[in-house]
Amino acid sequence: MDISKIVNETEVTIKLSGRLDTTAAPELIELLDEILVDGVELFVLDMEECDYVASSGLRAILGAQKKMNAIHGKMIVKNVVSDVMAVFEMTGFSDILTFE
Amino acid sequence: MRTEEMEVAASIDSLSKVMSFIEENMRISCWPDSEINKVLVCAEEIFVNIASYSYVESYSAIGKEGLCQIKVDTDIDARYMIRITFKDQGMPFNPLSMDSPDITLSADDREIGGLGILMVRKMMDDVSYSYEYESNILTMVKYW
Repeated sequence: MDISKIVNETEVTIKLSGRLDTTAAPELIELLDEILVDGVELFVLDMEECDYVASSGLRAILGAQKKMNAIHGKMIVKNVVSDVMAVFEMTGFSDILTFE
Repeated sequence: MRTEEMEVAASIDSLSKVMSFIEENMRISCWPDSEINKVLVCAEEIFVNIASYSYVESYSAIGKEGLCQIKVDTDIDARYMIRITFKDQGMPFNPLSMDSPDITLSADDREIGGLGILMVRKMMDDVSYSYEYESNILTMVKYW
């Protein structure tokens, strides 16, 4: 999986390309821990090129949502492909994430 | 019916080998990408569980490597069918006995465990577990 990030002062965008599986999730979690810090007001997760999310990937995404809630920021998940949206729906993640 | 079998070390390092093995078997019978992804997600959850927990107590202390045997049966006669059987000789454990997580809670209250098995239950058409000949045997079936 390729993870690219764009960090402006109060806005962070992460773009995922490939499979968010058990091998890739720890790298994403580490990056999220590093960049989602006090002062970040908006976090955008762009999933256009990600067609596979395992439960370890869901945990990383849930962790990011919890972190943004804790620092009173907003998180938006965008360009979700249908197979991944099906996973979000069956696990109830579609109710706790904000999509665009 | 086509049957292929493999045996790997029950370790996360084997995950990509296991995924490729299952994917190749599905590609041979021309399953569509989105169905392949569903089956792979479920297979990953089961294998990662085995790799993470099955041998932890009994084997790691003595430095012995636990194994996992994987059998894939595919059939395309009446309808597409894939049956994947995971077998390991670690601690007896039925992952299907776990309660499903509450998926209606808010993000802050949400627990992180149990999502993998929930996905397996929802995406596969049949999942079963047995313990025989000192082996955990988990079988999952998907039709298309």
